[in-house]
Amino acid sequence: MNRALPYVTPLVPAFVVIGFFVWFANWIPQTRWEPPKAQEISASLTPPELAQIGKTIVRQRGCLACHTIEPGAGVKGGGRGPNLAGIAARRAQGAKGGPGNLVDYLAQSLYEPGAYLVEGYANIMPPSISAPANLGYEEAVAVIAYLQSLGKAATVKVGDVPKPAASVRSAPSAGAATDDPVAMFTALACEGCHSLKTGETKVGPALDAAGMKQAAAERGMSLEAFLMESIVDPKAYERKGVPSGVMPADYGTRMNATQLQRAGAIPRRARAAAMMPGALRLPLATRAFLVLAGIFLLLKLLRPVIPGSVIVLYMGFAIAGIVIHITLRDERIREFADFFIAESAGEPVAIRIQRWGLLAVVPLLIGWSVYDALRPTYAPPVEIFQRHPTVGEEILGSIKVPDWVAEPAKWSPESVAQGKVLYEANCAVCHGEKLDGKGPAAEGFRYPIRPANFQDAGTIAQLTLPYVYWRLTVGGIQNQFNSAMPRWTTPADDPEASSLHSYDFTADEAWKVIMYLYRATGFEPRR
Amino acid sequence: MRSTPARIKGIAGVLAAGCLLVVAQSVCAQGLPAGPEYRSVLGMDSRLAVWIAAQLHLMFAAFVLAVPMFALFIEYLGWRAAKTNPREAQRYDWLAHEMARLLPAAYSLTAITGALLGFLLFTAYPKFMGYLTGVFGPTFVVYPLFFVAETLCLYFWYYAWDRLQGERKWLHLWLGLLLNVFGTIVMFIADAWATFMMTPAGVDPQGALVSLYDAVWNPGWMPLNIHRLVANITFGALLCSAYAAYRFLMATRERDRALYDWMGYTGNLIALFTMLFLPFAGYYFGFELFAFSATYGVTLMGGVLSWLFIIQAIVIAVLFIGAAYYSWLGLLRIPGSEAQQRWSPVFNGLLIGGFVVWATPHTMAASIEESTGGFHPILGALGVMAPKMIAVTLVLVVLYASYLLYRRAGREPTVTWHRQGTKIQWSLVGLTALAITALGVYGYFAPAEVRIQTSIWQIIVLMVGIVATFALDLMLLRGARTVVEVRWGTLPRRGHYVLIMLAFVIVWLMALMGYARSGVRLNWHVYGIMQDTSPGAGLPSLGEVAVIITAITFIFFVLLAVAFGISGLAKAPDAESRGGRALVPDVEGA
Repeated sequence: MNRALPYVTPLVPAFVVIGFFVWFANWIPQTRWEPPKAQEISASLTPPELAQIGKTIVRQRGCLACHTIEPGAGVKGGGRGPNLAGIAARRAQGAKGGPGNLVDYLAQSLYEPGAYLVEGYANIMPPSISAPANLGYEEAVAVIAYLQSLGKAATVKVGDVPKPAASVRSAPSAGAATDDPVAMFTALACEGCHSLKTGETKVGPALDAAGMKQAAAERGMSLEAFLMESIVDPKAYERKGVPSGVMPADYGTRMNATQLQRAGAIPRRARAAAMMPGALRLPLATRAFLVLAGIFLLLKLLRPVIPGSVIVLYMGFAIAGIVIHITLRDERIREFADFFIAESAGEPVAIRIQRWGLLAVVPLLIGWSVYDALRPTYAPPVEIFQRHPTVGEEILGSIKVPDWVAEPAKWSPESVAQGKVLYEANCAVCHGEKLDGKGPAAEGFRYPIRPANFQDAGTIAQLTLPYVYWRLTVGGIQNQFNSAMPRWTTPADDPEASSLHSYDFTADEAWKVIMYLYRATGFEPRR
Repeated sequence: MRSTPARIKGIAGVLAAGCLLVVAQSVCAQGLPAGPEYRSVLGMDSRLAVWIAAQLHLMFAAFVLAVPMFALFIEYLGWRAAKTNPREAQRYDWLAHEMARLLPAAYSLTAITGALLGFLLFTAYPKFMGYLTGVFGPTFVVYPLFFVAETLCLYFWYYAWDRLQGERKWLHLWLGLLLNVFGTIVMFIADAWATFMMTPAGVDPQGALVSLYDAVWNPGWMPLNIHRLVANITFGALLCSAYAAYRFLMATRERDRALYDWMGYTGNLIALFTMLFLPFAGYYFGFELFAFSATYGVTLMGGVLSWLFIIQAIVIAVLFIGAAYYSWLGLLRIPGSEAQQRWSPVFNGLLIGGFVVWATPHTMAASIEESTGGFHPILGALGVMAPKMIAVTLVLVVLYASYLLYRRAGREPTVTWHRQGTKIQWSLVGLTALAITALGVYGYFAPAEVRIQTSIWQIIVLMVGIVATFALDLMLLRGARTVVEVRWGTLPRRGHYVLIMLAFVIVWLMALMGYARSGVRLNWHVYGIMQDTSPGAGLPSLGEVAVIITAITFIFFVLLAVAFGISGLAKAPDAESRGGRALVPDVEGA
């Protein structure tokens, strides 16, 4: 071992530095990017092929959290919803209720499950075209084909099944208009899966106060924090015995900031008290510590609050600077090391206090930071606050800027004026009349989250016209491009989008709003 | 020294690998029948396998491309000095050869990893490689020819070193020049393929070839050529420095320590010099990418890869500060340099301050509580391009100023006007810094296009400032008296630790940026033309990326160590004599 040391020691600094890089890269938010999903279900698929895909969908999208597939058990299986096995055969034998035609019946059950309820079952099923199943049209057809195949042969193909009506698309509002906790419980359909009575387990655990308090306490959290995190990230604290992945993961985005606030309270972090240095000539180690502590306190006390990750970054540089400063000269290294190692009998008490003080405080601080970094905190996923989500070229490249928009010098004052009206009616409530992100509703966001400040050089000034158009029209909340910004059109592939904004922009209107953004801020679109 | 059969085996091995590539490529260049888009190679994750092989190949290739460049330059310096100062000539020749000693082993590994990469690409991505060879058919034929020419030049250049001394030295220098020319051509050809994937040109929207010339000279080609050429030299120089540092730490004799200390210093100086240009080469490349597609800009700077650039800023900061720290420590070798040493803490503070600005994120948050970007008076102001350009350019001014001071250490100017001259010189340095700041502040308030213009002007001002003050320095130090000799071999061990650390850091950085360059295409083999529909089309999280590139870094060093070990470098006697001549010189002052 000792013979290997001279060969290994020179590598230690390199390993430490590389280790730091790896830690930092793992410490920051971990976002994977997946390409936009290709349409996998084509119109040419045969019914048996569709049924095979449908089988996978039924297993993956949480249908079996309530329904069961128990051949021979009749309509009442062991689940909270009707037994799916033999559903086709039962309809063929003349089971009553709902549309007579099997395909229509199944389509209605998926699109509007509350339209007809099998006797003995409550209206708890969310429409399958919304969360958590979120089926697209082709996927719904595949599920119908699969359900047909349970007891009969699948016959349905893409195109045979009616598409969901527009009214259905926007009907099951994803959000709730209220921020009263009890009203929200109903409006957000929480009661479908949760009970408020102690011990009554529906699909999910009961939300009784005592049980929740206990669950929160078991995790060392306040009740509010525990609830809020459970809403925003349902997988964070899943209980044993409760089906996994059933609760929609998008409540964090469907509920607005005030609603989320009502569901929980914000624990404030304790702040370290300042410590004043003494007036005597201090040893190098103490001075180094005080400089670091001073920089840290300064960063902590500055208002508005500087983000923790930036403080870590800055402190890293400060520590590096001090290490470099001390190691630039051999004398300084000796002075620094001797302070800790070479204790002498005749040294002043003040030096001894400082030595032991530092030896006690520094490990404590390191311990505290480790605890602080690891302790559970609640927060919605940070990705939804990413300002410039990544968009694929196949999407952005397809956006053509109209001729009347392409050249900022030729923008007509009328268009800009119309854009202003549209902006003030729809956008200013969050982004502010001065386009500074300080609209009246901005206060409803939990500080320091704010809607984009267009006056800042880091937003629209850095972006091209197609990107801003995409961001405004379809680039907001959706599965792939997470963002808190609603998308201001209702695209065919995401009917839920309509529930998040009050008005559908036409393409021309969207361009006019964008023109106004640039004109009002004085920025030019990036080319 | 390697025996003749070993040399022949080495050459034969590399040539065989080259031939393998020729065969593989020409087979595919003939076009593939309609086959599968993707194939699994031995059940491996194709993306991961190609990623690792490509990155390792690039690193070895960068090394064997860069080392002959500065080795040849050093050899040339020695040849120039042969008549006036034979001792210095001998020293330079030793250094050039010492650096070239690392090449044959690294070259074999370049060929092996290249063949492996070719095999993986052609096997796992047959349709894509079929398309690429279809577009670039002629280049795939020319490439191996230049590769073989480079191989022959390299081995002749290295193994004929001793025979082509004295009168025939010019022949050796020409051989070295040819080696560099062929190596550069090989890299330029490979760059054409890589940049075509990012910024395709010369094809119609369906991807059919229209002009091979345009496909090669696509918008990203020349920026990448320049960026890689400069970065390769930094990379090679830092690896040579690390080798020297390791030899220093293992050396038992004073003279060896002196020599390897000097070698480490020279490598670090070359690296520092080339690093001055790297940020601009990077900006130029980024600028062209953004001009090609705005999506690149958003993905890199505001989207999924934005945190990567914060990490990059930190890694580059470590690189710059480490290299500067090493040069400040170097003053300890020069007795009587206390006047210069006093400035080191000031420079340290300025560098740290500059990098604090450079690494400041604008809109990125590690948690929801941190999404203050654009609203925070500090982050909103510092996190955008203009202040970062000011910061990084001023960092370069500080690095240059450190070097100017280093040149003064232990020397006394004898020209009569040296006091006024020095004042003018430092005023010019200050003025350069001021002009760079003023331009940056102006750019901050200007539209994006103007801001890019001002950043170019900042670079021009920096270059003019450096050239002017350096010319003045040359005049000031003409005939300067050397008060004390540099005590080579007395650098503290921590200085050598830093050199080794820098080698690891640059390898890691290169792997990180290799990922960024490839990842920014997102799910496209050829951007906008040929989509990547394989299971590995997405991007992994940065944490996973960090683990993978760390693994690549360690594989690289292990392979390098094994190759050096096999080729006998580790045990090579320091004071070996070749051809009956003692070629290990004394270093002045040792």
